[in-house]
Amino acid sequence: MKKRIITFVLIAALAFGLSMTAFGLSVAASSPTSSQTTSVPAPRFTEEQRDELARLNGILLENRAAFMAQKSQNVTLGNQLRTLLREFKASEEKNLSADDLAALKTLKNDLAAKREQLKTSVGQIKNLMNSFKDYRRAGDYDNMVSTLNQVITIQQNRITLCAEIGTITQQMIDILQGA
Amino acid sequence: MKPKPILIISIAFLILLLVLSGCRRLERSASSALQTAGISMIPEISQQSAVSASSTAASQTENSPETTPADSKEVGETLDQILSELAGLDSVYSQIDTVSDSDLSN
Repeated sequence: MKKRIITFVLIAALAFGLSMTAFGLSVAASSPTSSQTTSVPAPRFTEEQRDELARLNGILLENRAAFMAQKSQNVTLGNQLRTLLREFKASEEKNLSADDLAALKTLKNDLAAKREQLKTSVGQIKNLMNSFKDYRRAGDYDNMVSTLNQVITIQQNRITLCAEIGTITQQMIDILQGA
Repeated sequence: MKPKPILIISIAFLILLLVLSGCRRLERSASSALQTAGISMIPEISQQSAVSASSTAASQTENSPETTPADSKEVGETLDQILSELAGLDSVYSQIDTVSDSDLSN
């Protein structure tokens, strides 16, 4: 009888120890201090879903890089145009023809329209990514993908707008340099 | 005897008229032939008005908007507006939000 009791206690202790070990490993794996820093979501998604999310993440990062490059180019062109404008205003000899002035006015209006469109998109990506993080926490794969696609669309629109702004800026520079 | 000088003068006058009309016809045919060959002719009196009209048009072309200088005040205002647009663009660029790395990490 005593042997049975001792055996039962030993088996129970062993089972308890094993369960505690398993629990500890799972906690360690999901801790924030884990070395895993990739963008692959939690194991609750299938492999295909993780691949799709990784693909979309890649597009987001590519678009971000393309936008930053275009923005940097636009800033450079803008500084060049600003310098030309100030030199033109300071010069008493330089003047524009009526046609050049009309062209500059048209370009200025185009620039204002593009700037306004770009301004409208400010904050949209931040809001969408906040929603994305909520969906990710909830494991809502479909809404995660939908949100990322919306962000990609906004990014592509911004890249297009910035490219058009760069073209307009260059055309203004050409007019002033030709005057 | 007396009518002879008058007759001679009249005949001479008629001959002169015939010669002049003949010369005009020759000029017209020659000018039309040369115009088809692309060579400009010395215009007749009837064509001088057309020449003067074309020269007037040429002088008007010289004063066309392509080379007419714009009002300097208007130019200054436009340049200021462009400078303002550039400042607005810089402001938008500084506010633009992008995807951050923390957005994509778990």
